[in-house]
Amino acid sequence: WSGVFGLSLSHCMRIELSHPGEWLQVGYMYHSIMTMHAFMMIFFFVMPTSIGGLGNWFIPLMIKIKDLSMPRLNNLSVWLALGSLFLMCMAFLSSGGLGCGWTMYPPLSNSEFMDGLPIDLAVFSLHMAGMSSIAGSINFLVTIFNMRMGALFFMSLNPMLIWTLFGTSILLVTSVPVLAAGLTLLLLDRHFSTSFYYPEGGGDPILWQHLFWFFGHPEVYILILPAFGVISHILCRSSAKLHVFGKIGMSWASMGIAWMGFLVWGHHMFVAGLDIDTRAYFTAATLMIAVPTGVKVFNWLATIFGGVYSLKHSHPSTFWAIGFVLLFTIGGLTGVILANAALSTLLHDSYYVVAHFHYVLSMGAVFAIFGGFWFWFPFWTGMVPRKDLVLTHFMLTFIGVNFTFFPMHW
Amino acid sequence: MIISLPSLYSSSGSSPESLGSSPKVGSSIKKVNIKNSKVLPHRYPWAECGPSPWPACVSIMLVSLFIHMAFGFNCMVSKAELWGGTLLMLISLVMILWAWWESLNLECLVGMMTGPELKNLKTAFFLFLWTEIFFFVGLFWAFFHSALVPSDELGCMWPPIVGIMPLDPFALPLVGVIILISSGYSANRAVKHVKGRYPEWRAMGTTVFLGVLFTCLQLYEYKSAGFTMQDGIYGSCFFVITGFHGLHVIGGTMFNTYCLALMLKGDYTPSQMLSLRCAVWYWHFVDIVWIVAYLTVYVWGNWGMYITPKQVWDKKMSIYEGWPSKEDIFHFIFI
Repeated sequence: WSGVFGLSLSHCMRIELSHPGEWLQVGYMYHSIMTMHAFMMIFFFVMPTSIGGLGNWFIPLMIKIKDLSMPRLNNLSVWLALGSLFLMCMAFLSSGGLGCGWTMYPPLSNSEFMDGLPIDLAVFSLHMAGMSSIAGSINFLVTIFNMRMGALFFMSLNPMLIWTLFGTSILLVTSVPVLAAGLTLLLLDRHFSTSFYYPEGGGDPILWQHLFWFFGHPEVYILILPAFGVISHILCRSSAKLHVFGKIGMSWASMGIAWMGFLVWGHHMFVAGLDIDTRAYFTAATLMIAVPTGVKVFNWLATIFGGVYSLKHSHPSTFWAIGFVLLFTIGGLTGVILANAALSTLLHDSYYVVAHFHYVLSMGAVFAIFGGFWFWFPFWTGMVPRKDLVLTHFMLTFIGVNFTFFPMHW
Repeated sequence: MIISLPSLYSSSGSSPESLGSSPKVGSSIKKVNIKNSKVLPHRYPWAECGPSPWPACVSIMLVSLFIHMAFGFNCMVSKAELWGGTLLMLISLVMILWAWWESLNLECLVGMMTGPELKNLKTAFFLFLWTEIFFFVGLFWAFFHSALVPSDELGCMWPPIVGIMPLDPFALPLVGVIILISSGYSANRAVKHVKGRYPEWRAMGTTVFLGVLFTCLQLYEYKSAGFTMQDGIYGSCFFVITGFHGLHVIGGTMFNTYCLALMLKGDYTPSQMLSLRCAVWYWHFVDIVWIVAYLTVYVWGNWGMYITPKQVWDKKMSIYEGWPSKEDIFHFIFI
């Protein structure tokens, strides 16, 4: 029961905050809303839905077993996520609000400037969310390693969603503890007068940036890898093909993105005063991640090419998938531009960066979530939604996000 | 405790009968008399546990613990209530986790711990160790970030020029290393004993004893140290690394004590000893972290600049008497 309960709860989409309001009395409230927008979207919408929801449902189905390896651990993951959400909302609603940004850089988040309850509650909330992610990832990894029935050889595992969730779990298990370390150091700094991030004591705010982005960069790949898997599924069904084009290449590309994601955290720190050679390395490494990502995009295009389909009669989720390929590619291209240290210095703190990550997130991860939702909706509920309504959903979203984020490139 | 499958699962072709042909499954199924026993039929090789309240309890406990700590850190409750309440909540958390492990134990007795299920738990435990390793990687990152290129506020030196009296790594900490390495050896012997069905608990008892001894040693060292966690980045890194290591030692000792109790009760058989092996692996992890911490923080960090605890004490007392002392001359020469 605990397994099934865990499954059903983790399906909930938790879109809490979708857009910071515009007509408020601006000031600290704006920072608070902006911070919460990021935390909510990343930690309580995309991650629970794509990893918790899709992973919990599909990993057992796709490797033909009854349930994940440790249902109680699964349940723990769900409950910890709920508790974490509760703490985060408490942080938002407590006095002063959470005005430090989702990256929580000291000295702003340190006791000198933001002494008080909200950031502590947010730190604890992130600790709990981290524990939840670790529990879920350990579960997925154990299941995928050990419980493959039907003589599936490791290398020729067909379902792309399994591969991408596998990569996601490895990323989570390795990077979340480093975030936990950084958060613990921040907590000690705030309340126990240590000097990890205080230069007066010999510490360094850059240390936080290193620790946070060592987690933060794999985190964004965690957000997008399950989306890659979903899109592979939708596209190969839409083109009436058995499997995505070049499935072994796709598996290797997913693993490559996962592995290389650990080597590039410094591209979030180009203006932090790093050495020129360090910046050069991070530029080169980041550009290299474009290679397996490009492999995936080309393979998706090849899946569509030569397939049997027609747009008029196709399932609405095809639109989401094609929209994903197009818009994620645009987002990826702006990412390549930002990967260059020199250009990034110019574009730092501008809306160009915001445009980039919203293209890959709200047009990448979110398109995949919506597409997957409509793709598997008949499978989950046995009901077929009205096609024109679903298409309307797609059209409105497509027009909306493009109008919102495209102008930000200027 | 048998859960009924929703029809969705069986419709996808994964009915238990079709799984029986894989060699992995067949080799480790326990042969049980299904008709008369209360043991689960072993056609699905992994355990299916029933509903369990413990995960929800853990989460609720953690939420209240964190809220309590957040309020306490911000001085909204009295100091006594903060630490007393934290202790109480930690104890209840340990009790809930104990109940969870008890249910694992019961599942073992009922016979749900088949070979594949044990392999799952083993993999899970290694992944958990992986996360612990990376937590310490984060802490050591902080140490190396500060120590490799010491900042100007420290006098561009590590250990910092002002105010820190580093400990002698070849005195008390070396004793700690020896204690932990020998406890690792005795833990291995304990595992060998159980594997060979040799009814000897003393090796495990030695491990527990040495763990407690190490903790006491570290507490003494903390009390006699010439610097605190508040003393700049050196003190912060030192106490955070050794402190979290100490917490892991305490947790590992508790795990070892639990396994010792099970050993004395006679619950271990050579095929059902996973919790003992996990405790020993965890203990080896703790040992290795201490060796790395020792070599980096104590030996490499304090190289050439350390003084013994007695000298620390004398120095502490000497501020009431006269200058200069040995350290002041040293600092004077090297500034």
